Amino acid sequence: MSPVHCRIFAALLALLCARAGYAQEEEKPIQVFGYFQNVFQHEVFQNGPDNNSFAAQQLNLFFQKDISNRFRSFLNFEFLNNFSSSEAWGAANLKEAWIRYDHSPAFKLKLGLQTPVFNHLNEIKTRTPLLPYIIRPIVYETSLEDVIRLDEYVPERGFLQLYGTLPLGSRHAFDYALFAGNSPNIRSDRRLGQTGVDTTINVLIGSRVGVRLNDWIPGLSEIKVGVSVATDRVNYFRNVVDLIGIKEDEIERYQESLTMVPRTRLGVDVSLYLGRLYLEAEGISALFQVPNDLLDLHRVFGYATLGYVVSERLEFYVSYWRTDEDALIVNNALDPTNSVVQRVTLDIPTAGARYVANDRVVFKAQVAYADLRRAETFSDEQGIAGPTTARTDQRFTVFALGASVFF
Amino acid sequence: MKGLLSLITLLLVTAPAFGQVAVVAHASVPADSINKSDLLRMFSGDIEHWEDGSPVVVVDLAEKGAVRDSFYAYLGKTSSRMRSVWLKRKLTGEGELPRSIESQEELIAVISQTVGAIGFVSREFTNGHPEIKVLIDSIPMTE
Repeated sequence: MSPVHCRIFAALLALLCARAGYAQEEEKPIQVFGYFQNVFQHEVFQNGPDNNSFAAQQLNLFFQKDISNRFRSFLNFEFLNNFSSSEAWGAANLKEAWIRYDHSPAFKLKLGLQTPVFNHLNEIKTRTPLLPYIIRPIVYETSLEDVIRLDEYVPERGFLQLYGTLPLGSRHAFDYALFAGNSPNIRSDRRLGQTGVDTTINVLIGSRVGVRLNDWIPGLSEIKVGVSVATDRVNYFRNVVDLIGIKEDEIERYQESLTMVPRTRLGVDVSLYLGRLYLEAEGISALFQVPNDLLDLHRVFGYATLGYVVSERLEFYVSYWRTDEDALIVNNALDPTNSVVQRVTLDIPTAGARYVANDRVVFKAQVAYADLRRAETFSDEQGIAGPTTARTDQRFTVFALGASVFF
Repeated sequence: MKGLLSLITLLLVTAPAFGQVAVVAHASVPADSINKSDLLRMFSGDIEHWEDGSPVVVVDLAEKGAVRDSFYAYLGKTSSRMRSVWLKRKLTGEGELPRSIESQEELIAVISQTVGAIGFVSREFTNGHPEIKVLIDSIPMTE
């Protein structure tokens, strides 16, 4: 290489480095932040031995990159219940991976895997430092998803959301969100091919509209009220086939009734802030349109929390949660008529406190009494529900201590 | 009597200057005033950009006292409620936590050096700073 070429090469290199350096200075750095919550729970069962357990209940790790003033990308990884792949404990999930276009407060568009806005708590259900609870209102308690499936009540995942807020006069605001996503008919069986994909042409469509009223009534600093709806179609027939593993002609009578059952989830949420007092409540009803009323799969959930903020650091609350659900349970894989419709009612009164040690650390305590009642209605000879023949009840109390850290 | 009247007049003239909170912003922001609604929406994170597209940078006064309490009372919020709103926005990827500044002197310095910044201080701190704009100068101080 001649000296001239060397100089040109050096100049180009210097220019490239300078441009790269400039570009890095202009770009906003990626932000990495998250939180974790560790808990200790002592469970006292009415009929059975007590138990104690420490757990790294939840860890969420976020990556946020502002691509420009208008575009933001966001990743959310979640690890539950002492996650360990070597021990096969807990779960690790990609909860969110989206990009947002922020046109104005009234118009924002979010594309990619996300938790849609449905009722008050859905989008913040996994943000444990925001909540005073250790054990969350039961359908939102991610660590109990094996017991009560959250996606039966609220849409857990969306892939497209248009949302925003509009001023209503000088003090109030109107919030809206419209979202779409997959139907719940997601392939999980690796033997059938690519997992995690919707196997139907159905989609989830949903919305929440609400108002925030500030200083509407003297002394009542803020009122938030919203209604939500989400509609999709659920293939319960396929669930039955998967569960009992028999030929389709043997259970043909199920097919007509349980294929692509239209499901509508309706929600209402209310939050009131009155000085140091606050009230938060939600109600959700999941309605299924099963032809000929062959099965009642209706389920409802509600909670109400009354809290008192003693100071910026200390807060107490009492809360009441209730779920009431009907479900088709197939007991015997070899006999499709041996199915039951199970009605499960769960009542949980609970109370707790939260102490904010500083901006990053929150200590929590909670006690919850659970009253689980299960009524089983056995099938008749056509395999459809008949008279109730069995009831089982279970009661237990949970004492929990937790520490939530935002980093 | 004349002296007493003079004293009362002096108090009436000077008292407001020491008993009010001002909302201040970086001199480059495209606004000369702000209404309460937009102020609340900026502090709540609903408005994330100024009219010229530059990002809004909310600056909070960490120092507890009458200035902070008066400002949030003016917005109809408690400081703990505001913190909850901010944290929710941060953890849902919808906004940033405000920069929390220990003293009013420091807050004025941060706002004067940060494009798009908005915050609040006691009105007496706003004099002699050409790098800042006073958007509201008459929020009454409550004890």
